[in-house]
Amino acid sequence: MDSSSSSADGYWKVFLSPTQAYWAGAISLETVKSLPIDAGPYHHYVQPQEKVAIAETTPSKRISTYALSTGQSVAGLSETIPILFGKRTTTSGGLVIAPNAIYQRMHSEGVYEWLRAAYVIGEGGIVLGVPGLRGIRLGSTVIDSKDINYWSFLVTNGSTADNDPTASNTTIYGTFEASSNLTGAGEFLTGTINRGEVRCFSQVIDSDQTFGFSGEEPDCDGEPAEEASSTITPVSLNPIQAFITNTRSCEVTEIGLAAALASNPSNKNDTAPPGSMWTNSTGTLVYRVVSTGTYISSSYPSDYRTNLTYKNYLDSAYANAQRAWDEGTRYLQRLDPDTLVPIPIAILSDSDFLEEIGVDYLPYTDADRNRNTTPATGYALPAPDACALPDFTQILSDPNNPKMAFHIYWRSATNASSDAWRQLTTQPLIIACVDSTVMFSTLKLQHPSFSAVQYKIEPVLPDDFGRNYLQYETFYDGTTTSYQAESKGSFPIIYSRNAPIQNIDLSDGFKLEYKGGYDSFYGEVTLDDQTVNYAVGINYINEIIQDSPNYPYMSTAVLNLRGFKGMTSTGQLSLYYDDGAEIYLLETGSTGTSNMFPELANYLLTTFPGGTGAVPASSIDTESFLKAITFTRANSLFFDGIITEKSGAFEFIAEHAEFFLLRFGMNQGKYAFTIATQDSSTGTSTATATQVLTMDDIIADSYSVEYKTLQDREEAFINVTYRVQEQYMLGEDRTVTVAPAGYTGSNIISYDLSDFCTTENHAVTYARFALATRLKQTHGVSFTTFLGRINLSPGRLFTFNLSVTTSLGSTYTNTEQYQVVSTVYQPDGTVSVQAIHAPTDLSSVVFSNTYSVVT
Amino acid sequence: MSATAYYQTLTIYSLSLAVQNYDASAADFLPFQISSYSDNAGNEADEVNIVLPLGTLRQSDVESLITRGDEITVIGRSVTTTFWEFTGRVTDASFNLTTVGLTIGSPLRPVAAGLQLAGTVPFRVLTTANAGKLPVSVR
Repeated sequence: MDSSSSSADGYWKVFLSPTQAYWAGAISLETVKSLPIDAGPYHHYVQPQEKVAIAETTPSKRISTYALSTGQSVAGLSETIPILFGKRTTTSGGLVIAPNAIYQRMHSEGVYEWLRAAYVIGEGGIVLGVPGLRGIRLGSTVIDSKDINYWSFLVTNGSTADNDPTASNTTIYGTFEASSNLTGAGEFLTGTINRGEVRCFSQVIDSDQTFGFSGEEPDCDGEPAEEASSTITPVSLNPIQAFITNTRSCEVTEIGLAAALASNPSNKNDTAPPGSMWTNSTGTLVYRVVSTGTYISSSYPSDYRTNLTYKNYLDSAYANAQRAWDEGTRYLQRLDPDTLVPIPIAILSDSDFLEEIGVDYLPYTDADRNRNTTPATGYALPAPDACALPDFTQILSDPNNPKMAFHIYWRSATNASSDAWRQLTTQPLIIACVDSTVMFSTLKLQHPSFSAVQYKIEPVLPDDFGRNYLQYETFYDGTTTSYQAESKGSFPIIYSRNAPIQNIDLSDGFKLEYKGGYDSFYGEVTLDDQTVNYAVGINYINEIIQDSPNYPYMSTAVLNLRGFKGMTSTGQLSLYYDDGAEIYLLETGSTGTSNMFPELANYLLTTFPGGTGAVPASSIDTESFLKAITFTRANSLFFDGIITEKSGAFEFIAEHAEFFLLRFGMNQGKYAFTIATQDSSTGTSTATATQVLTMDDIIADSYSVEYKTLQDREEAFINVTYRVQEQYMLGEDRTVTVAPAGYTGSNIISYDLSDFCTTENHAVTYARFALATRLKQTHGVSFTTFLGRINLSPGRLFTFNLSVTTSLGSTYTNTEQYQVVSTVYQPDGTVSVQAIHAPTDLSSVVFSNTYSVVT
Repeated sequence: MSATAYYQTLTIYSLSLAVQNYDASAADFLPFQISSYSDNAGNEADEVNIVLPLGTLRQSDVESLITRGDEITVIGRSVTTTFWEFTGRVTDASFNLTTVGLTIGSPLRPVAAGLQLAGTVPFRVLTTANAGKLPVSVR
């Protein structure tokens, strides 16, 4: 079965184990429990509707509980760099950001895989602090709850022009890979180029491919299977190829392999099964029990065994040997006691072996043969020393250790003029693992130039390997002629448990780096048992590009995360901060964090990361900003959130000012805040006595009153969403509803302030303000007056004292209070004014319980 | 009620030019015209258009003003009172056969959503130059 084959009816996916299939969501827990613990690779048919959709980008500004199952989002060019702003108090504040990934690279280390990913958190301001460890999450999992030996998290503070994460500019949590796999300059974001770690960009893609041998007959429209031409391979093998295509041109393609070459011996539970090891009674000789197939292959030369003329004879010989086995005979291969490599002498046949256990034969207990997973006497799996250099000859010569040879082919992904595959490997690569252990390895293929390439990985059929790459040594011990297969020289061996790095040159200018050995070995490539489902999964593809950006004035983070075994995905990273970035503060004249919206506005206007902003400080109406700060602080109107707006800062400030009961605009050519419920000069809610306009002050035909529509003046429920932000926790959205006393109508108006509002008090205040502007500010007025009559700066309160009596005796009067919104100085010396109705009780309504919270 | 003279002064710092359009007998008189100017508490930023007689400024000076975005301060005032003051940058210029036009704009010009224009106050975005080669596009 080909894990990559797909059709309109779905496709097959191979998991290394039922457990992995469970964690991937393919099967239920009950199904896992129903399968043997060593069930081996699990084949799952995926219905078309089961295909995993590409996760939508998680909003960066905050993360909600429903999004926790969403995969990690990746950064895109032209996306706004988030700005973290806020300051935690005893009653408010705290913010959570879900940063986008800018680098991902998977690594394989034998029995496990690990990930290094990097993220842009946000602008550093002057300096961005460190997220609280208890608030660093992957999906729903707090990273602090994991063993620190399995992860590390590093973060820069964004204070410099170069925030590329290095060993010297990061704050570190955890220990895993926190100081290794770096470039010479201590950089974390690396790729392997020309046999060294170089600062690179890397992205991980999922190939969803597997190569190897399936023990099943191929489909009728598939490739023809190898004939079962010898007793050594008694079943037809269906070779499965894997195909990989770069998604972009790159310098290096790294292929992550997960080799699950678990053999399928039928007699593992027999007494003294194949692979079991024994010593003589004095412990001076070491034997390995080999299978009937191995015994046969040692008794007849290779060309004889592969000649179909002798197939019937060999089948008969095999049957006789198997019958003898069943009656207690065991076939024993002498091993060198020091190296456990076969000694070139004939394989012994002892028909009394079973009776002699405990007398002439004792179970072998040295050399880490201590993982006895079966009740079979003498059977013990090898348990390689994880800290010792592997003996590759011994590993590959041990028939317990499955191994498979394969070739890699390539062709251009961007030039379709030739479809021919070119063989990349001059020798087959041999991947090995230790019995049922899944071996995670990486093939690092360096392209001859920056290019996009297609790769084909094709297993070498055992008989083909035997014909082309094995030599058969013949030896005579005085009575018997025996044959033993030995590799023709050394071969690249992919085996990454505590193994050294190897480099070999491939064809056409490609280079390969891998962990393992380059050694010779004894014995056939395939096991002499009926081996089926040799599956090497391609868990990931790293595409590496040499690149060295600096991330100026951005806080960046690096995550190193080890998988228990393989890794298939990570959850969205989210980070909790008590405070946002430190900035220059208008209020104190020094640097610090703040939750004051006017301070944020000043930062956005006057500061650009690493320099001055578009607006000079002289163009800021500092006095109005300070008044706005005093007002928002007095009324606990705080901003604690992430700014990811795409539009300009002007729009952001103008649109958000309302939520802090402010208005933003220009006053005397400077950028200024006015307070919607106060006179901008006196700070009171009542116009001063001198701020009165009479009929003499107004150009008669310029005066007009425009009422809001009935729809905009009706009573309503005002429903405001805010965020409850416990320290280190993800935000919880809550709503609060305010309405006029006794209102039972159907109008509901909703506002979502959860991006920045973390208190119910703020939400209620804004709800009351929104309601007051509907019910109290029923109309606006525009008129033209003369210069110098009263102060008509935006935000000033004034009253009319108008009375008009028509010839019919009707009288129009206006003695209401208004607040200036806009003042236009005309070239002719007149002033056009727009003002909004601002009754004297507007402020008291907003800050009292006139409009109460609906429970 | 007494009449109040209302006029404007114009200062171009880079040219060391300071003129007014009220007292024709004064040495700093220049008969320029100016558009309306607004203060507001809304979400619109303003710009002021000034029309000067041709010959007031050399063509090379105008080109320098518009190229560099030099600052110009305009004040609307009477003899005793300043009604408004605005300092902006030269964002546009025009000539015809009789006049030179200058537009003084605010740096805080609203922008269309998702579009960053010069003269605005943008949020910083990830770029190839800054952020390197980001993951492949799906397009």
